[in-house]
Amino acid sequence: MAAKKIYDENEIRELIPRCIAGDETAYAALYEMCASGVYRLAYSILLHQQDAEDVMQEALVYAFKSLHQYDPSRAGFRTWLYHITVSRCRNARRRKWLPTVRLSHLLDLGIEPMDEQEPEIDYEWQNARETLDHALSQLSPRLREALALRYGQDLTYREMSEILGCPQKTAESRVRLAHESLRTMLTEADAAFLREFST
Amino acid sequence: MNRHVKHLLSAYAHDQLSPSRRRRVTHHLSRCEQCRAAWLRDQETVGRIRREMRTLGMPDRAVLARGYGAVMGQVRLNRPHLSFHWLPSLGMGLAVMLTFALLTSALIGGATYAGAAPLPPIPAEIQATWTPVVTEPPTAPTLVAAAEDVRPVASQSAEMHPDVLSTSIPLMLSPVPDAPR
Repeated sequence: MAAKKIYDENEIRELIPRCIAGDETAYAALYEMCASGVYRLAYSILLHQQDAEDVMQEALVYAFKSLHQYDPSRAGFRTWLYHITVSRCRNARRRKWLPTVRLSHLLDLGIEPMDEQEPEIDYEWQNARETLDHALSQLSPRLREALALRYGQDLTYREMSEILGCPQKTAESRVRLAHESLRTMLTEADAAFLREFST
Repeated sequence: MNRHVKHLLSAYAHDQLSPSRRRRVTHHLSRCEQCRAAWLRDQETVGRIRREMRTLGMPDRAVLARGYGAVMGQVRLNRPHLSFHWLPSLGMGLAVMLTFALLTSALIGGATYAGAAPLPPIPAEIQATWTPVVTEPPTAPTLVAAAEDVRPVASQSAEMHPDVLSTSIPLMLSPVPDAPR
């Protein structure tokens, strides 16, 4: 695959008619723009690599087959696509009870520690990541969805409310509750490390 | 104003406080060292979570390549796209039209009933007409026989025209002579 393209709503709207007409290069361009975001969202919610990959494929197949039903006047393409993704994540969660995520899952994803770091920094980075990931896994699914959309995808509360199918105030409250839960779960030592690491 | 506002910091960060309460928290943070430290710590944690979440679950090339093959394989299978989403609408339309036609015919035609058809008019050429009967006056020797012949005929004469009876009855009163005393 080529380097990821930056998400561009206008370009996507130009690609959609070409996709409907059967242009495979348009499908490839659309996939390149959207697949990574869909996978990250699915993984942030499910915290499982294989499930996230399955959800990404299901969501994109459904979206590509239903492009003729997409109405730009009702919602942005990303909002529409993420709505499908969250729905598929909920289905996947119903099918399977999620296990606690281990560090190995993160490593399998190809998330490599930053280059040119000292070995002890790598170890601490992994520990911090594992601590945060464990805290995420303790959140309720609804709060994790909200956090993934707000912090993982940088969506507005209005977009979140459309994707989650809830009032905007509810979306805001879920993010706040998730934030409070994470703050409680992260130990003071982790927070101290995070402060040190971020400097 | 001396009450701490740590319990309001999350709502403050997410802009979920009323304007008056937000002003109170802002004012308190400017004066309370303890709450300000908690606020800064909170903001750092949020920033850290945000940064971590942005890189969480970043797919590698193998995942994207596998996904592309699987997605396009299924999308290609469905081409050319034959859409029959209009079929239920068509069926519903036909059902409505049929119902409308049945209701309309029932309302206009009214209820059905069984009854005999009216008799057709009798043609004029086969209608019964009166034909006048002319009877010759009988001779004397044949009066008795004629009277005997007339009696059974009298029952039939009821069906005859009155004029016919009036002409024959006087002839029947004196055909038989009186018996000897």
